[in-house]
Amino acid sequence: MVFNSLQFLVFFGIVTSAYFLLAHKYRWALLLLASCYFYMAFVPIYLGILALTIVIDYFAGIYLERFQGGAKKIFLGCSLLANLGVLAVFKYYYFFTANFNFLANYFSVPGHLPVLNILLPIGLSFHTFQAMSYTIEVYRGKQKAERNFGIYSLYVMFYPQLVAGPIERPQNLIHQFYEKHVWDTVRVKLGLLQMMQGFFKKVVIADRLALVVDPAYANLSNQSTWNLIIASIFYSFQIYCDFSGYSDIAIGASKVMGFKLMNNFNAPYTAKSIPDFWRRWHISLSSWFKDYVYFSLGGNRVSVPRWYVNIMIVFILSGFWHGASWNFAIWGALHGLFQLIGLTFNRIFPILAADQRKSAGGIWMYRLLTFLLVTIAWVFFRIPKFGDIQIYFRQLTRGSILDPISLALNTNELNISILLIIGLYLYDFKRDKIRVDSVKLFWPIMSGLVFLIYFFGVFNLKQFIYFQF
Amino acid sequence: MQKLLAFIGFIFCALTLYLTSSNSGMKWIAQDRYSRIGALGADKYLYGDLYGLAYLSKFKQVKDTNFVPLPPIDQKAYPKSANLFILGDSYLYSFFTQDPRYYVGVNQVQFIRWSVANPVEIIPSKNKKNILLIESVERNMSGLFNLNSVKARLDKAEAANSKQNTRQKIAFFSSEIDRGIKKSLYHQSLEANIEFAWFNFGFLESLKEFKADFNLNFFGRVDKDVAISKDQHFLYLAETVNPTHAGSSFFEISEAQINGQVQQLNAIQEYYKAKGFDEVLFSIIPNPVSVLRTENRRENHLIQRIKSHPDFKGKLIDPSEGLSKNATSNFFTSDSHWNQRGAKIWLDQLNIRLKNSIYLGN
Repeated sequence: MVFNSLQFLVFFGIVTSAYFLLAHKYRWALLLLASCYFYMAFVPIYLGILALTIVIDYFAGIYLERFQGGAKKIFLGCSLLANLGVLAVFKYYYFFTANFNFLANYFSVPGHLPVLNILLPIGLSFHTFQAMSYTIEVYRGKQKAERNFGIYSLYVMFYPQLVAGPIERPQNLIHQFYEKHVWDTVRVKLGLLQMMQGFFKKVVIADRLALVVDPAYANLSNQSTWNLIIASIFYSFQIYCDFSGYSDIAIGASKVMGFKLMNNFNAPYTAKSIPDFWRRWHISLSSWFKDYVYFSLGGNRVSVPRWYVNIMIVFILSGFWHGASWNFAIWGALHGLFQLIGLTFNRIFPILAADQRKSAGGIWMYRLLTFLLVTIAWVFFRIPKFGDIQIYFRQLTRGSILDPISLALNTNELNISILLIIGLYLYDFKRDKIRVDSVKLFWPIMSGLVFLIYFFGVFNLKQFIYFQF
Repeated sequence: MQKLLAFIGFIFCALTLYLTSSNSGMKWIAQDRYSRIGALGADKYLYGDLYGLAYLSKFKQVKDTNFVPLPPIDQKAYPKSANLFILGDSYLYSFFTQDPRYYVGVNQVQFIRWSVANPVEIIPSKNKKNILLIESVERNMSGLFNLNSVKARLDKAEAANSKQNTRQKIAFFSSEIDRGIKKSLYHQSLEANIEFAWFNFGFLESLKEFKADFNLNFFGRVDKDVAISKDQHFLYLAETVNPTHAGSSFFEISEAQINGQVQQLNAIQEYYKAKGFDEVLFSIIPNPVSVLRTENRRENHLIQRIKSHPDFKGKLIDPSEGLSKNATSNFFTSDSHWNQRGAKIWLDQLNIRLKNSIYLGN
């Protein structure tokens, strides 16, 4: 069930109204049942895989609390092994065997690993990471083991963030299932507005930009330099609106029922550097990697070369988290590399960097450079095949910027897309000053958004990009 | 007050889900909606299925939904000595009732839809001539005209006994569980059903048309499943025009693919002849765009290439030529199907074939 569907509206209406009608003690059961129903709309049988890891992590949590020393480590190891094992089988096995068999062929080594074409359970990386954060936090003693199996299951399966995050931490979410949320009109309105904002980003902006991006990337060898430049910039905003739109709907839907999920985006394209970008983009994932991988490797409290290695490890892992494919690893590595270059530059020219950032022009230059680097990296994220990446850069450099734009798109559509991007950027840039979520203006804003979505939306039930991870 | 609001919301949404998840619920809604005219009536198929997707005002023309009248066949001259089994699609069942009087020399006709959920066992009669007609529109033909696909609709025993290794059995078993759960929890047309239940009212028609016309005039965009012909007179299913889609009349088809298709048709014929059918006929209904020829593009000539293939051993009913004469009068302007005239052309051709098969033995 995708958020941008009528099925979801009906589902949301039933679950939310039933939530407020039911006595508090039954609410967790309602949400758990609803989450199972929501998840089974994709591939029902994969609920079994989710259930398996939930059972393992539930008991691991309890035993982690009960034991100390070596035994505790064993239970943590079992839990991580179970979660990573599921990831390895369903997400990375095909990648591993394909690469192994390729190398075996290349070096004429006899014997091949069997290739299993297993369908990837939707949102696997998201709920696996959320489950792992629970056992790690219990291991670290920062979270009590959850005794109520239903509540723990709901922590992993809470439907708004089940398939594409935000990846929550147990300290933030579990206690909320015990709290009694009463109807609060202001909160409900704010939640609905945030949801509508998410629908707008997805249906009006992301899916409209896809009209340019998808055909261009599907037929790279026929694209001019300008076409590729426009398609690449559009893709940067498409993926942003697609993913942040999803997060807005998830956070808004939770807010209506009284749950507070962590913020996942904070105007990422206004970032002034690559580290700044990562503080604003997919915050729940970048903070997960920071807390559980980067700090575990020693963070920056090690020698400079080791620090640089740590950064590269985290970014390459982050790339692989997105998908079992080399292009995602390159995407991650590029971000790591940009970060290292930035760090080195700042170390060599600390005064220059500092001075530049003081002037408005300098800040804008940094913003532009950051956006440019992020957009270049997105190219590797978007194109899975090396051959196609080569074609992309060949076409990009072959033509001239004087070549005409020949996108298969109506001029008005193109102009509206550009206006939407500018509007979004300005909104992001001044979001603290523009109170779009003002409750006083609920009805005008809500009806305005409904009107815009209806007339300017591109309705093709296109799935959210991040569902595939 | 909040509780009351939540209660009303719950009842409304639960009722929507309940009705739109069941075939009987949808039938009830559709019957009620189509029985009304005006603000509370439904408009979705009144003006053609493609109008119901695109809502473009200039393509709003009331569609004739009557069945093709029975042809004047001299029943005495052609005694009923055959049973006709038809595996086909909406090009037939929307235009002909299951009445043997449509067909020359046919005593009994049984119609099986491609969309049938479970295989329907067809048993050839011992004292009549048995004719199996397999029909599909051009756009769906490559996916349907193969032995496995036909067996899946017509061969109960075969579907149950197909040999599988353990891995395939596990995969089959799990996919069956999956399918079962999905079927019981989510109606396969749930999204379309909700859309119909919530938004298919006459009073919303002008709003939909306004939006569709605005999108066309300002953005040059129509519904993703629909395309407008180059001469601006017809609506087509987008997939039949899009050259990257396998069902398109402009999709490039290699000789090897045609050879493979012909082999499949021969295999179907051999299999069902061995099962006791005297005659296996095939019919491929051309996509409207293949006949109307409005697009000035290189066509793949799929039907003609199969028909003239030297290895093709079957008999193909191809109404292309008949439909091409006064082509524009044989199709609805805003529907993916032919009209009653077009259907009649096909029927005449089938009846000539039946006469030849039943009485002349060729």
